[in-house]
Amino acid sequence: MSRIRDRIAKVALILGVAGSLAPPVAAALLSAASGRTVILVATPNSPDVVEANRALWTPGEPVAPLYGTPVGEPMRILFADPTRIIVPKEDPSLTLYTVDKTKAENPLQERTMWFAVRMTLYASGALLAAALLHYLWRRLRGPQAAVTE
Amino acid sequence: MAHPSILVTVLALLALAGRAAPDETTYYVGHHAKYVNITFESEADIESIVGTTNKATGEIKADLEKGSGSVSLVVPVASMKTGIDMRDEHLRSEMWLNAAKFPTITFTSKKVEKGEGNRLKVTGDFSMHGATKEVTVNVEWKELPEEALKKAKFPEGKWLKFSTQFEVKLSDFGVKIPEFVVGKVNDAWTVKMAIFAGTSKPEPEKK
Repeated sequence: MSRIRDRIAKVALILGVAGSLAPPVAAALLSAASGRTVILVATPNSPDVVEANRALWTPGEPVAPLYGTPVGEPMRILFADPTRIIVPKEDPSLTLYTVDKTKAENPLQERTMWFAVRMTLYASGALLAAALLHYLWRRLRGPQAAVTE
Repeated sequence: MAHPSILVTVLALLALAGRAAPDETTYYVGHHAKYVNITFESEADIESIVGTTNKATGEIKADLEKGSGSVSLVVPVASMKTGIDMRDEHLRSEMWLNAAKFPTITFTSKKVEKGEGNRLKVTGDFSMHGATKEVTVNVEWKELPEEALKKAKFPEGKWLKFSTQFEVKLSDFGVKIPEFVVGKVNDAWTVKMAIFAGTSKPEPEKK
């Protein structure tokens, strides 16, 4: 019985260590390789509406609303589709990313990935704690067991 | 007995009361989906949700110089999309907006005042989910120049762009956030509207 417990503790230890290290490293690499900071623009305007908005725009006013409705703060997304990226000529420092919600478009946000990483870390931490408790218990119980035997 | 001229004046005033003031121009909303851009956003701890609709109909009667007028807008609940079909179904369900029982969200103004610059302060009844609450929104308007109208191929007439942003609390309209989505859906939603309205009447929708 104790052998089975030892094996389970060993597996839990390996999974706990791997789960604590691999996902954050993988996520950081993925972010560096394919992450891009953008302002999401929901329901992109049609070209003629963009043209009309340009006619109403004066320098100093926000640029993103010319192309659609900007939503939230600038965010990092993964695997950005280059055809959806707009670098406005009115402010080339901006990167806009159009998403058409009416067509069920949802880019993968980096914070969603980090949320999954956090959940994995909690699970790995629990496994690691269980394995360590098991070894601690074995260590404490070991001499006592020897005395009683 | 009242003098006949007084009666005539009173009757004439009553007849005029139902019409737009002489200096007010009527701008129609709903010519085409591309002229309506409405988004609603929920920013919660776990998730951000962004929904949109391009369907709205209504009228904006305004004397922009004086800052007077009236606004009536109707948005069908069924037209609201959040990017996930199943979530849209939930949004329309009895648990949320109950589109079957309350198919539209409406705004009807009660008072329009002139704000700073090209702004109007509009107070009116916002109705959703069978409940009505008075809200005041600041609306910015801009008139499209003739040249831009031609270039962007807008229909005939004078065109204005109206933009506004305001907050709607679901709890104010009797919508309760279910336990299992607490942290994913915020009670307060930010609504952004950018609407082009023109003096030409929209063609009735073809069935």
